[in-house]
Amino acid sequence: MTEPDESLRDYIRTVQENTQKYLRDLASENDKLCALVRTLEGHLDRERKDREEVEQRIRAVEAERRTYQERYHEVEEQNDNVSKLYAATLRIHRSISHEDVLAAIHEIIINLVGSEEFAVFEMNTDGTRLARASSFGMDVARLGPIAVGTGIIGHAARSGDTYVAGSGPAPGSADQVPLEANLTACVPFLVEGVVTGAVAIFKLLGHKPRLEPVDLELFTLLGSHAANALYCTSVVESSGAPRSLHMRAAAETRR
Amino acid sequence: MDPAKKPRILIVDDSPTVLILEEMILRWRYEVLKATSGAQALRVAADKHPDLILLDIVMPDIDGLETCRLFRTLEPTKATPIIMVTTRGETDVVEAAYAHGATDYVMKPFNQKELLEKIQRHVGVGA
Repeated sequence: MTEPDESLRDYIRTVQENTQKYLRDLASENDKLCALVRTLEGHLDRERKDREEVEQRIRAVEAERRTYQERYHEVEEQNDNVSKLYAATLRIHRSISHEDVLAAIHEIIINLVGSEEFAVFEMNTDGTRLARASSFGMDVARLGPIAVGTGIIGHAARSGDTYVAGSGPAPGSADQVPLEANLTACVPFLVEGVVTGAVAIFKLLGHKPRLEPVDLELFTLLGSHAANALYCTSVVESSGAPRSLHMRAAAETRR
Repeated sequence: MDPAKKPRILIVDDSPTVLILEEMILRWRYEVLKATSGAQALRVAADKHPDLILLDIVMPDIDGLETCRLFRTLEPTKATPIIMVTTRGETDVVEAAYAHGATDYVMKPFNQKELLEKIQRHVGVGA
């Protein structure tokens, strides 16, 4: 009975020793794996941060690209506006007769603003009435003299303020004349702060739904430069000077 | 078209304002020729052989539609791209322009970008 007991005890001891060793190995292996997991977590964390940084940089670059694109469009639009204003200014300043200034005003309103019905008025000598100087696309019979202070056009002629439909209450609308029912804008001509006339714009071209900011710039230009040109050519023509100017220009061309 | 040379564009309009504007937009990239009437445009085109024509419709004497038709009967311009640049945006006028031989259509008041894009589509960017 002794031998088998001894043998069993040995076996049990061996098993226990092996189990202990196995547990130690397992714990050691577990420690290594835990360390490896921590290392990998560190890598992952760094990569996550790197990815976030890259994503942040991409977002910044994208925002910068959008800003540049917006600025490019703005510059493009400004360039377009400046070109129109330059062409209009040059055209007005190249005009040496009253008739040619009126033609320049027509060209600007038709081609650059985009209107198919408008009228140019000039003030009489005592500053009480506007009379039609020229018009386009309108029944001339409807464009009789307008008393200063009456209706929207008359009011603009008295105040010197540009009227644009839809930009607030219209001064003078209480006594507006039937002609003004379709008025889109009225730009008074100002020379040295004195109203010398006005351009009334009624209908825009069918494919032009509304006035644009550049149109308001063109109105400012018409209200000052065209006004000066009309005034100066009137003065020069009434003095008889243009004839000699034309003759001199023609002589210089022949030379 | 010789790629080393600037494409030559004939602009036709009876309005000096439009001619000033178009020339200012185009002169950096293209050689610009100008005409103020249909008859003058036909003479200039026969002589200078433009690579593209910008043509107004509303003009005294020969209007743009008739000028366009006449361009198509002339050897130097029978295949030249013609872009109508006009205030007339009505469908029947647009259709008439194409029927008279127009290649493209731009409505006034035009946007510089739109005009340049249409020109570039037909003759390239220019120098």
